[in-house]
Amino acid sequence: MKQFDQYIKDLEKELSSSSSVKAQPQEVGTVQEVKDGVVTLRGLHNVGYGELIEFDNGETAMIIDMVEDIVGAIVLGDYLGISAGQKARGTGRTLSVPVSDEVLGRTVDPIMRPLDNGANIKSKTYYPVEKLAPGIVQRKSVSVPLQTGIKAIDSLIPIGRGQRELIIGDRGTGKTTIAIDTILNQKGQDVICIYCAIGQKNSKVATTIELLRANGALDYTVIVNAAAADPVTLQYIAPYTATAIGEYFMDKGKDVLVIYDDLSKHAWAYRQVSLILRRPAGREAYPGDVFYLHSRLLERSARLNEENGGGSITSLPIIETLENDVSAYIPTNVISITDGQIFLETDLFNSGIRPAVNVGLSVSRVGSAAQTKAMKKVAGKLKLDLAQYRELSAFSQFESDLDAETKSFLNRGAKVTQILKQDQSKPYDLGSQIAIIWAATKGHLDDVPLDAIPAFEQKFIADLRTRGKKVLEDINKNKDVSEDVEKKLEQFVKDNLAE
Amino acid sequence: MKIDPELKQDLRKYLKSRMDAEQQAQVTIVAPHKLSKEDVKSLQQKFPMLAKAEITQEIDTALIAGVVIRFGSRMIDLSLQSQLQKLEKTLYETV
Repeated sequence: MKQFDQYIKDLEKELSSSSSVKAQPQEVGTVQEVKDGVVTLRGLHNVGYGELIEFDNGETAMIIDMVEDIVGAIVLGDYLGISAGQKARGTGRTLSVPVSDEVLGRTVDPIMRPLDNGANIKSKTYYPVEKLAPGIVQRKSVSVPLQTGIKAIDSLIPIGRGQRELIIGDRGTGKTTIAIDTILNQKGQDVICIYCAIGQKNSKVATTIELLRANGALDYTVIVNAAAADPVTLQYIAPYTATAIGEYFMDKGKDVLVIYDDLSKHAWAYRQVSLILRRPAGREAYPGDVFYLHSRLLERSARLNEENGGGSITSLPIIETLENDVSAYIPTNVISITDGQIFLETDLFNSGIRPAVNVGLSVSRVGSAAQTKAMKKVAGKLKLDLAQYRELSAFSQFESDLDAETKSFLNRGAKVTQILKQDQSKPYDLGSQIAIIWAATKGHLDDVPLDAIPAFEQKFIADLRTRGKKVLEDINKNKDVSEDVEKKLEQFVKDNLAE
Repeated sequence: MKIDPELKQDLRKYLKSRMDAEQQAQVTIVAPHKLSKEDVKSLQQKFPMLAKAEITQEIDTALIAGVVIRFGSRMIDLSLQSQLQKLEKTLYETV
């Protein structure tokens, strides 16, 4: 009713004011062609790029193409109600979305219309959907870790707040799982999470939302959804909207995690729009600015310095490959834009190594600066063990009898690989991660048979979380493994192995 | 090279006519009924840009009341129809 009251008030004001009627000239144009989500119009001689126009039936569109005497616009919503000859008015605004703290826990579409039967999102604060990334002076280098709660990632491919880490792999290798587990692990970490689904199945998004709700992660999460059935134009602007929401929280000094699931489908959506607008097609029929499409998006992830509030946006873009082909066009583009990638492989997934992270090919270019001291201590040895294991395991297939040293390397590698496996939706806190990795790299598990390791791990961690609560708290608080802690951990390992 | 004075004259004439035409803007006034000379005059007083323009009238009863002034791709909408549409939209959004 508020809106209606406002309307009456405006009307009364206009009538009571003695001055003459307001005569604001408007830009008008006529629809010439309607194509899949894209309309071309005649008229609108004085509109700018990115400006919003409004049709007679209330739908809005954004101008993204201007040729000599016609303009092209993408319809933000249902384009089926628009017919040739219809009038469109310029609004003089660029596309922006209302943002407030109330968006937390909500599911919205790329123009902030609710998708969860909740109330409309209303706010006085609007953030532009397309915005230039923060400049050099406003930034700071990555220094605080973002714990994913996944052992293999936090130890070997650490992610810092403000970093962009690509998750890449074939379909069904657990890309979304890694992203969702990371959201679950942010509980109580004062991190705002935004999950942006682009061109996904609605059923899959619904399952994800349920999973987040069941784990109590929805309180600090926003879901932006442009499903496969939605117009491609909405899929095209979805990640920019998600980033705009993130920027609102970043400007308030918060740490934000944005997940773009996935950017391959985003590139497809943009390809469709571009081809309909008859822009020249390049490699794989993508338009020439497909690199800029993603670079301008991911550049908006940043760690701001203290003068600018100290907030950050960490992004985890997801790219789906076909047949592990990372040298395709879009994957190589996004690999070069991001600060590292987590490479997931079908073969590893099928052989039971889950998360199926290929440790050799995955890198994190800036995250090690943010890794905690404790993790650095244990991860150094872990990396070495795994590297030796990889080298020898290929070589050892040809040799029948191996010397004792090689055998011990192979044994250690197998054990370490085993402890890096982790169940879905079971994030580990820093203390538990360090405890189990420490146990393996110190060689305490060398004599344990491989199939007994999961049981030991479960028992060991459960024991630490009850009896050894103080030890875990010590690691979590000091972020270091002191000699005293090492002695205590050793005792716990021995206790659990003896039984 | 010397330019033919006749050609020069023609060019000058053409450019002058183009400039005149540009000043003489084309304006369309849409109203629900035919406007009288006084109506047009009062509109011209209200909007100075109408004074010199070449005015074409159009009749559209869908406007119900008021006028719509169109020049180029710009439009000044002072019709009852658009006011009612605005009310309809506000009501729709409120519900």
